[in-house]
Amino acid sequence: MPILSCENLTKQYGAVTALDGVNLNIEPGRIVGLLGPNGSGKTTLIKIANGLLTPTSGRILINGMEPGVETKKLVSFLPERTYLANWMSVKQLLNYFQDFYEDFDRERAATMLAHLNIPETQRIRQMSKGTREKVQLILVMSRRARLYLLDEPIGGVDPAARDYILNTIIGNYDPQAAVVISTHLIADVEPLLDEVVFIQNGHILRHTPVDQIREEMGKSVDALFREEFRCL
Amino acid sequence: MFMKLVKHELHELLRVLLPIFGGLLLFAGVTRGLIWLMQQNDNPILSVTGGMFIGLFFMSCVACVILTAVLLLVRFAKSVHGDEGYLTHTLPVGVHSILCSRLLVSVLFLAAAMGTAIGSVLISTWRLEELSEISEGIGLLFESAGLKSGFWWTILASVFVQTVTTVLMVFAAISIGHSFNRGKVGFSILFYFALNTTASMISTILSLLLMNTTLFDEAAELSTVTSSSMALSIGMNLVFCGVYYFIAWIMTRKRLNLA
Repeated sequence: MPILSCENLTKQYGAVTALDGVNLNIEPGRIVGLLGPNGSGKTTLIKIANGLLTPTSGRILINGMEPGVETKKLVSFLPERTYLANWMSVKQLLNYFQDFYEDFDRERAATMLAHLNIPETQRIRQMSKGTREKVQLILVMSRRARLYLLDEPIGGVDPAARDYILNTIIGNYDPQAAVVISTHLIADVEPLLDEVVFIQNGHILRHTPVDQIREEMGKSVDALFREEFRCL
Repeated sequence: MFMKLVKHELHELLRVLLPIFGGLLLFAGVTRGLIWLMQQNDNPILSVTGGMFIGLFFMSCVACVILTAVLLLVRFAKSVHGDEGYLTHTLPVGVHSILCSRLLVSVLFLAAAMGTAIGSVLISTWRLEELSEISEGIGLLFESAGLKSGFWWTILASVFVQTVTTVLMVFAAISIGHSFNRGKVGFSILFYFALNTTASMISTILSLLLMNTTLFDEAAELSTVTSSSMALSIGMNLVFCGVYYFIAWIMTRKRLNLA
């Protein structure tokens, strides 16, 4: 059974169609790049999967269920913006996640925080934007979830931390779990990806294994993306 | 999960509101000392500054309740429909749990704010013997109106239901306002006034209709009229509670717009 399945998924914001009849299946054990230019519908798709937006028509299923309390136990979501309360310390956030998510692995979080030199006593308001994003990503990746939905996970962090984060995503590989990464930094994430989904104007243009792009087309995902989404 | 939400909300708000409540109680103690000093000394400068200080104290009591209400509504908007909503709505909890936890915590803090304000006034001005005199006076007033001493509970129930209704009305207005892509705050305020006006109109019409019944005719005793009015008010507010809760729930469940 696919861990994420979209059937004719459509989302409209007034007159603007963000997603237009999207059909997509993502299987467990895959790391999928959700790639497309700005305003293509990537974030909308991820938000619908998390139940933060409701589709105009069609449906989305997580492990065969519509978004709700049960699917939220399975999905670990990293939004593009910081959602952490400024006054909280890292330790308080760890307690918060441990309280609500049964699959939260506190030891894993503590190890990652130590590797990135982030003290548990530090408060969010004392951190730079990049450090906040790192903390948020650590919290999200420390869950033993079935589906990770990462919206721009490395956009705001320095290249050194970027490598650590990408290694963490690979290091946490679980054959039962799928990871969907939406990003513009294709060259950075390319080595991780099993599949790519190209999306534009709310339509899925391509859903292809990365190996196929390399072997049959003789191109990197980055090169193919630049070719298909070239601005004239 | 519900209790975990309540625990975290209490923690978040106590952090901000506890110093405010504590500060007001401290202010009340200082005011009491100043009043005593004014009674002991016949100094015009002390009387003028003391008078201004007491005025400031009473304004602070009102401000404490208003500030609490504002902080509660900002907290609701931020944690349910703002950036923190990304975390709130990805927790494995239902919308009912989210709304009920916010409602419970809001009512608790509003009660605490009103209690602190009343307590501060009592600390600053009255003596214990005066309190018992006031209590006796109210008892006599009830007696002369033909009301039983248990009427206190009806008043408390009415205040409680009115507080819950107001909180839910604000939740409903914020939930509608934040479903728009732009001008979320403006629309929230607009819908608050719209809901408030609609509720007032319905209450007035219903009251006028019921005024013609035997419960409210000229022959009815004052106690009957008072009890009937209170029961009517509680009943109407309970219906409004249901309507506002449904609006807040449906807007958060079906029209959540964390765009």
